[in-house]
Amino acid sequence: MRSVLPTRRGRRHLTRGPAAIVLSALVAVLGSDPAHAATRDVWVAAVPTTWNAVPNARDALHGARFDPAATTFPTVVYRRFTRGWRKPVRLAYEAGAGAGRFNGPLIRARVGDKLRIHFKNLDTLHDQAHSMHFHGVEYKPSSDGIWLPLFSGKGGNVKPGQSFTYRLTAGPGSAGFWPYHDHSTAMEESIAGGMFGGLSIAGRRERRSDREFVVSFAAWHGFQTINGRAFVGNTPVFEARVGESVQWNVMAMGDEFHTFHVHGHRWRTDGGTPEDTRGLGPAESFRVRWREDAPGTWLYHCHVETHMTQGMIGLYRVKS
Amino acid sequence: MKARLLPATVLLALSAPAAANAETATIAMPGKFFDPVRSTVVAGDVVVFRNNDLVTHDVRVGGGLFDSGPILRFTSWSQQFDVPGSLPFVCTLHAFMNGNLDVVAATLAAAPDGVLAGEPLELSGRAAAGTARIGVEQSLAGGEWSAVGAGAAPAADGSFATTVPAVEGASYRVTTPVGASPPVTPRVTARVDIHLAVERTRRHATVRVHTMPATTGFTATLELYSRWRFRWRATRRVKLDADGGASFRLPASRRSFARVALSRAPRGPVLVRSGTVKLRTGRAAVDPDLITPSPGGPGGHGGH
Repeated sequence: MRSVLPTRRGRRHLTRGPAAIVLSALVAVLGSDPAHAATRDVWVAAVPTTWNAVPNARDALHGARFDPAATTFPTVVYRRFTRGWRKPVRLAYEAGAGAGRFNGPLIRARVGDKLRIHFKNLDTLHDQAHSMHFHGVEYKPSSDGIWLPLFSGKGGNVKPGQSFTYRLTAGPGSAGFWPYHDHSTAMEESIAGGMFGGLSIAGRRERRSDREFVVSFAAWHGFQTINGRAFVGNTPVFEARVGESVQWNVMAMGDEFHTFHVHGHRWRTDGGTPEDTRGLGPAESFRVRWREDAPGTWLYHCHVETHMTQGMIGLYRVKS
Repeated sequence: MKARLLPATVLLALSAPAAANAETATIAMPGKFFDPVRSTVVAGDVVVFRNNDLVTHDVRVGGGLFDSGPILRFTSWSQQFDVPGSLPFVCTLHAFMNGNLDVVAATLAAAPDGVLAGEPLELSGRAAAGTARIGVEQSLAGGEWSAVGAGAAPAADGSFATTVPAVEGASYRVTTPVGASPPVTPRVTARVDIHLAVERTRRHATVRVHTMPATTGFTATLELYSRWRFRWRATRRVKLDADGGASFRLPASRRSFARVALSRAPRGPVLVRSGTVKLRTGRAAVDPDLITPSPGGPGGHGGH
């Protein structure tokens, strides 16, 4: 487990006070078990931003050029913050995974963990209510993040300037990669704008991969984007070294189906069948893993060809 | 004009509509001389001749166009000048006291000095207060004047600023309803060539930059091409030395394309870029940003 995981409030509390010696011994026992369940606090806000899907202003594969004015738009996205929403922060593992800038923070947990997602709505662009709805984890209806008149609580309709804490549990069936997204009344346009992200939940005793990548397929202002960017050089350039274990977290949002394909590599289905392309529809997600053995620069892309030519393609760089 | 009429004259001058925002210039007589001896004012400006001397003086402007009459010690005489022209003036009581007043349709200055061709050249100055619009004209090598740019709408006090692309050897003037300003001829350098050379040792690749003519003090920015991002990225900046040169040292293992951008100041607008060189060989190369999948192989232009 890496040190960049969200803070564990409960454990930190144990190390204070006069009984510190006894308690720290207890912590040492508990801490020696990597599978010990933790409570993880994650601070997230919906914030306005100005996003350019094509910062290099070109489609290098086809030689097309773009005017930044035609590829840059204001939008609202999820951002990770430090405790108390003091300032936005992007963790190191999120930068390596290509997450945490357009698509929301990559929230990591382990089966058995409790998650407290502290969400604040700072949408000053549309001044709309928003929420967070999580796939793949256990929660009470109050933390479902949906708007349902007479049933849903505050968490389904967090008004601008207000906040809500979603309480989730990574249950026995939660290991994997799952999407989260806005499920308020504004969800159709806010998801199209980028209000989604992913949960990466490791099994109770599972070892995390050396590299973890996020690939979010979604249409954005006429472009087919991966993590909000279109065309090679703009989409994430994922990096790994031969010998490292890699995990690709793949999800799709919007109205279309996509097929995830990586050049020069294969992985196995749960049934053990090798494959190098897997399809997924809106809000579907999966993770695939392998140990890297193919040095070079490779393409990864959606194999719906019109999506690929509209930007859904990126580079994977494997160093020997 | 007699001295006792002075207050009425000043009032008249100040109450005229054109003079509502007119500037006032002062020419003093601290002794038996005018200070300053030469002045330039804009048509419509008021000039105050102030006698700080212990004796009486007077001022005859333009050979009798305007006469102050006696100006007693520690008093002054004001006059508005509406028509452009060069007007000598003299004290008739002390004929050795003389000076010159240039009344211009507009003042004009160009900045910055030593501008590069194509770089924005700012023309600023002042026309008569209340001027609705000024035009800018350009003359190449003493030839005909022709309009350039969109002109400008001066502020209420007549001050204006407008930008035109600098052209080597060009003179500029502004036109107003009462005539044209005196021309200015800024120093413009036609073009700067940037030469790149790559020197390699076992550990380093050094990119040497040389500019012709030497653009000492300008900023050279080394740009390297990011192969995985398909874009040029500024990596380092240095000030060009007295010979207009600079060098950048990189690890020998760096495999990329390099070019240098020249700007007047760090992070300022790029005035000119060098051609592209391949770091590994030091040879000129096609700008990788211009490589297109056109039939027949890589295309584009951008090398030397």
